[in-house]
Amino acid sequence: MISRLAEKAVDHIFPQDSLSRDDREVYIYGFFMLFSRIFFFLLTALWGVLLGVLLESVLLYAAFAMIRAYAGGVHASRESTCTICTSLAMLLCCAAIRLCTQVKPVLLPLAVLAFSAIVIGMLSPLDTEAKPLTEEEKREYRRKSILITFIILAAAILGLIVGIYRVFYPCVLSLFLESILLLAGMAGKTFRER
Amino acid sequence: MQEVKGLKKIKMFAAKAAKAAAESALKRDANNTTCFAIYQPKAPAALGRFKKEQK
Repeated sequence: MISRLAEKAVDHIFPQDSLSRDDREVYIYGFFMLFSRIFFFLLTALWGVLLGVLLESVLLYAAFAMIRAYAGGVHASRESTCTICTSLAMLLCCAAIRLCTQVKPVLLPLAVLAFSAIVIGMLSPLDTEAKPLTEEEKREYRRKSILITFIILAAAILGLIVGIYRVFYPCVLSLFLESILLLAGMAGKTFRER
Repeated sequence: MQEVKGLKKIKMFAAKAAKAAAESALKRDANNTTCFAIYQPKAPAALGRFKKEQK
């Protein structure tokens, strides 16, 4: 869906035959990245509106986008599977935030936060066959993943101490979602290697 | 006639803005592990020209 939209955008913006094959491919890829970000941002915000946690859903999206960019994780083999999985993941996270803002648990989210930070620290970055990383990139992105995890962790703890649960829960869930994606990605990689 | 010119200008501006936005997305993606969504399309070889120079 988004791939087709990206192709149409390139055909519309660039005059026919003005791009080389390589350039056309790279611009389609660029538009795919742009459109998918916008689409999932709007979708997450929509879930937030429907569940009455708009601000939290935007914060969830921002925090998750930051850590996902460097830590990596599992990927679906097809775009349609991805669209469903990402949409469901964001919906479940927004629903969890909604539940947490009503029940206001503390110990369980703290345990989840600690678990997620450890998993991300141990497994990131996790690249894919579609976009493999060099050893130098792995070192650099690992440092960035740990730094971003630390920033989100600090924001979560600060939110908890000050009593701003609207910051605490989205930060916890963003790291938790990323840790799940890393574990799934690692499991898939191990399974394929066997 | 002026309306047509005006529309053409808007179209050109929109095309430039969209191209700049796509290039910004490419620069970001070239220097990341992966994209937001749970689907990573195969990175084209030409993406390398958007990477920051390694120290």
